[in-house]
Amino acid sequence: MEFKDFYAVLGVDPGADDKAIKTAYRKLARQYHPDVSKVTDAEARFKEVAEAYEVLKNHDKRAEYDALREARRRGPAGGTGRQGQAGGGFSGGGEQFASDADFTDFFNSVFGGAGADRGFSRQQSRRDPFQQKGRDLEMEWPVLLEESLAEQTVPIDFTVPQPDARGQVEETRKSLKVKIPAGVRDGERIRLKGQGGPGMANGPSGDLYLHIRLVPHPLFDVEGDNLVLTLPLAPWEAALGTKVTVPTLTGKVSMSIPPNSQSGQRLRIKGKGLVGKRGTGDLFAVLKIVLPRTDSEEVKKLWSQLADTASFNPREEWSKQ
Amino acid sequence: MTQATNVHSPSLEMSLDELCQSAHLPTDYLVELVQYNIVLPIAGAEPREWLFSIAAVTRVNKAARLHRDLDMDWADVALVLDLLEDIDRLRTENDQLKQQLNRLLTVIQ
Repeated sequence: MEFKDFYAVLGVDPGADDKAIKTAYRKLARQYHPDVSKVTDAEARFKEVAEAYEVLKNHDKRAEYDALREARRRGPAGGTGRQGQAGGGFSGGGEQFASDADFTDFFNSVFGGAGADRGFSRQQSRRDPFQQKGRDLEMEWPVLLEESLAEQTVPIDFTVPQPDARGQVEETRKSLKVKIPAGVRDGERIRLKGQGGPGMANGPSGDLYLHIRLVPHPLFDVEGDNLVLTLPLAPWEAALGTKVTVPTLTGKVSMSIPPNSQSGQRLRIKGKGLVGKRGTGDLFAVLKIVLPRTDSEEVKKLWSQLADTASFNPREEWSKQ
Repeated sequence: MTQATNVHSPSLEMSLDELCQSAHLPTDYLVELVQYNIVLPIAGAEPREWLFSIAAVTRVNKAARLHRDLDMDWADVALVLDLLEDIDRLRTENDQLKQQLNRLLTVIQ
């Protein structure tokens, strides 16, 4: 097992006082805290920093660590650390990092389980002191835009970690049929009560959360309850107006393009958006005027004719200044 | 082993007790978070009638981590959480707009 230099982790001198240690910790914690940091390995870095601080802020633990560090410096690697207390970590909660399981082997071998002062799980013991809710599980669940329009019943397979009496974790496979309500959105979480890990000492089972991911659509973008579709038009279609067939999530519809339409203009198709909490959204078609390639002499001649006849200056705004 | 089961419907909200268990936090702690408007019940006048949205678990856990790991007081935590949510919302909006712009600018030929 690799020995960790907690002083180096915090970037402080081994003789540093409590205040210097606290300051160093706060600076690094702010830099690497996974809730606020965008650094790629933020979570790993933060755990390292938190682990170092956990030991160095506490006088007894620090003394024990210093002794170990000193012994290691002097003689051959010795087993002064307490052994075999690792484990104990079943504080559950996928959201709660810095639970026992997150401390490294090194930390656990020296200090046993993580201090109860970090996790709160042991404080909620109005009932049986060992009673604890089972582990909450979370899995990503991709949903197509088309599927989000109506309630769906889907089969879900997952594994539940189940610790036996000796603390060995076994995985049990589970299959459920789940109702996904209409109108789910990207990032939303669906809670299936009691479908997570089993509770300890008659504690309730954990829950299963489905983390909804709306699968990006090749044609439609999502804007709240509305959908946006880019609709390509030929210049003459935009100029003269036309009727086009437009795809929607529920099939094709016919749509009139008025004469003198401009690129970027939005036309609304009512009620063809996503199903929302307050009714169904609309589909907006954003017009995009696309020019054909001008390869043939005949087409070039027609464009020149148009240029002569239309006498149009698209940069008129510039000449006003 | 595979277990056959009926169709399960999602739970749309949770009680104070359930929120405490899911977040692994004591009741007094949660009541304090409500007092600081860090998380608000969607229904119920008194703590034992309170109902929270499912999203409350994520927010409460985040609040607890910031409070514990960064030594922030509750007023700071509330501010940071609101700002983080703003950033998230703007980032999503920015991604959507970029995607739309990209569709408008891409040349088909």
